[in-house]
Amino acid sequence: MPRLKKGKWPVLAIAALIILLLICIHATAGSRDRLSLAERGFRDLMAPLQSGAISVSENLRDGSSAKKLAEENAALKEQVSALQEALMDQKELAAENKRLRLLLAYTETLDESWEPSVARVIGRNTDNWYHTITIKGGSNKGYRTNMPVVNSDGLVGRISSVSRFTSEVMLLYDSDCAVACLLEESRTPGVVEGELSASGDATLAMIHIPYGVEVMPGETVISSGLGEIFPAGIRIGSIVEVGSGAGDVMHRATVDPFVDFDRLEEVIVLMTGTGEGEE
Amino acid sequence: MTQKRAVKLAILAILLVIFLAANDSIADLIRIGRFAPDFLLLFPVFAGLLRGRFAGCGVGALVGLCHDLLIGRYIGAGVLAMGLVGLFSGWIGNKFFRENYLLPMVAAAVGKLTADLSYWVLISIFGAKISLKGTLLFYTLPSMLYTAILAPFLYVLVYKLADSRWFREEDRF
Repeated sequence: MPRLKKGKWPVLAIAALIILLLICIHATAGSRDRLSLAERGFRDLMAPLQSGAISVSENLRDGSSAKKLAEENAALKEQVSALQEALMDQKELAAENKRLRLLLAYTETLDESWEPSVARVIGRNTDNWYHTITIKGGSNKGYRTNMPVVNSDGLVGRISSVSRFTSEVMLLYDSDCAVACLLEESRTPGVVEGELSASGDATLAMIHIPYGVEVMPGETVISSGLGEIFPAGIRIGSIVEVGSGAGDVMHRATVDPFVDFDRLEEVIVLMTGTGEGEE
Repeated sequence: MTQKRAVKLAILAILLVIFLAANDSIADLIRIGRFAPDFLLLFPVFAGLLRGRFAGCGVGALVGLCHDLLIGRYIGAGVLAMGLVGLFSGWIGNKFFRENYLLPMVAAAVGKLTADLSYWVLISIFGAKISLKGTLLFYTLPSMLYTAILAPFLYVLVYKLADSRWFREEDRF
């Protein structure tokens, strides 16, 4: 048998190893019924490590998922908030649309000599001394003092002062705002003015009702048109209670206004040429 | 074998076992679609680059064997494929400066291609029917890119460790 040179042993060893591995590959190709001892041992050794690795990995992934969910949750909350806001805006627009339709319908019932102008309420005087609101639009829109202000429910008041872009409206409740009126059915004349009740609330009263006239609760009070500030026939309110003090020659009645003064959002300024310009 | 050398081998073995156990989990965790890194491949690549072709080949064969034992099929194919990667990495490591951080990127990319191609050839010879085109397009290339991008960052760490006083080259495995 020829002797191999010293340097050829490693080559032969590597070749033998490769052949051994190829045999091994061939033997373990495809599925087998039983695993070898080495495989079983190695797998059993690795199993807890693999399980731990998966567990850690899942925890990390869950951590990032929780973060993602939190972010998604925040984004969705933001979206819900935006949608709610949009919905509110839409409801607001729908309500405004309804109010404006009513105002439009109301203006169509007015005498043609009045030129209606819709104005938005932009301020409200909440103190006890005066009962006024501020509307958008002043001399720039042709508003003048004493122009009557109404809405679809009835008489609101009159313009008390005008600036270039805003106007102050004196409400019927205001003690300085007296309106010549009459009872719609009996045509009994009188004056509606604001007064402070014993409880401190502002109320409306119809005064100067002639003594012999019978006034029934529920009767409608309308403007009479006397005084040339307010047009005739505008609804003011209904009689709630009729009374008179001892020795009075006139009746007085408490009036429940048709207009809800706490919820005024748009009003109609009835423009005429009779107002006094002011800035 | 000195005690120090035995400790080094034990460290390597522990690292190998940890990465073997966690390879799929970690890869799955940082996977981007089909792009998942192959951490096991980096063992023979770094060993070859830092300690020469014999160390690379040995570490590769060890990694391949562990992989094969875990898979339980075609035992030996992984040994040869990964051994080849270690051998190649050792060869390329001798040709260039190992301080060049582009080196691990190239070695990892070529190594991944070499490993997968040789593994495919070996198992195909023994009856496996796996599409080469599909494997290359949907597995090897994405993994190759991800591993190659990751390799320089990990190489810096391994390089510093291997260059530390405790891991001097004179004590190479």
